[in-house]
Amino acid sequence: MRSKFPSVSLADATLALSGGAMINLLASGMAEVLLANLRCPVIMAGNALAEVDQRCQRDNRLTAGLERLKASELLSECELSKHAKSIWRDLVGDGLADGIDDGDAATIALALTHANDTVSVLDEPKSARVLAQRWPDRVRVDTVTVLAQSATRGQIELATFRQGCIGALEAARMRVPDEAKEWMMSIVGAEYAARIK
Amino acid sequence: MHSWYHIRIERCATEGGWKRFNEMVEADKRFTPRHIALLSQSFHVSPEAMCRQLERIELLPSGTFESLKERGFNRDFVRGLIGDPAPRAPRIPLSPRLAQLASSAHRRGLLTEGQLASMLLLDRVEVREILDIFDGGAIDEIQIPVS
Repeated sequence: MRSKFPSVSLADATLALSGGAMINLLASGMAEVLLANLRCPVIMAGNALAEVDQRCQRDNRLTAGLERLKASELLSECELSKHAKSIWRDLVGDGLADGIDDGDAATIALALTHANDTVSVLDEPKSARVLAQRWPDRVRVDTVTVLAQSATRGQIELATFRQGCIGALEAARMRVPDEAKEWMMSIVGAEYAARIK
Repeated sequence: MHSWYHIRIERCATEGGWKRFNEMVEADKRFTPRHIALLSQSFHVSPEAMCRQLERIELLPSGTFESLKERGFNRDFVRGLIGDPAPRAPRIPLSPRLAQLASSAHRRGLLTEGQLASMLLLDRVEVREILDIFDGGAIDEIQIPVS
């Protein structure tokens, strides 16, 4: 039997966004509206935001959205605590098999030390695996799960929301996990879905 | 008298050819038509010549090329497999083989997008572009048994 997507509800959670997830949301062209609708506090580590800034230098369509988010109360940049830094060092220095990149490691370290209900938003399979293995009780979701929350879309019309999702798929090459493909197809339409992988 | 092209074809079957073939299989843990395309590029021969040489020295099963040809494997198809990244993304100066290795490392869960971005001096979306080109589509579903 196919499980219902999304299987995780983000109501009342705090989201620790990775750089990759923020790039996806910004590429939708409606990150500010989506995060405002979701009403979850959003935090990011400096290392993760640096990845977004780097992308903005190459794709200036994302810059305005990022500036609006930074100026609003929707997004807070958080400094890693001493404890978080020790987790971060451990994650980035863990060799080939389990070491992960600076940004994802900072996102995990921030989520772990921020509050128990803080959810990491990470699309990267290796980072997700490392988090699940080392901290199995912590919740992790991907960008599509954030988009698929009913609160995220709110009152946005389907056609507009569809354009936003297509923006994330095309401009950021957002990954769609297998369990989310049916949901994504229901938004972007079968014809568009058939053209992409 | 052999032409330069024939000499290059012969080189595919030398120790250098074996070595490169084994390196690819060892690194990627699989062998697909994309690997034939990459090998043919590095030996400057056609994909057909490369594939037939690998069959001749029994690294690939006899009849592999005919089987792939029936599925649309030809010179134009190969150009689509390894020749597209540069025109679409001028900032991505990777050789097809390096891009293939990066993609393989990501597929096997050895490196994250962020780690690849840092190593290749690219940003995440550029890395995703490489991963999409080099690790996706029906062509990578075709696994060729190797000897």
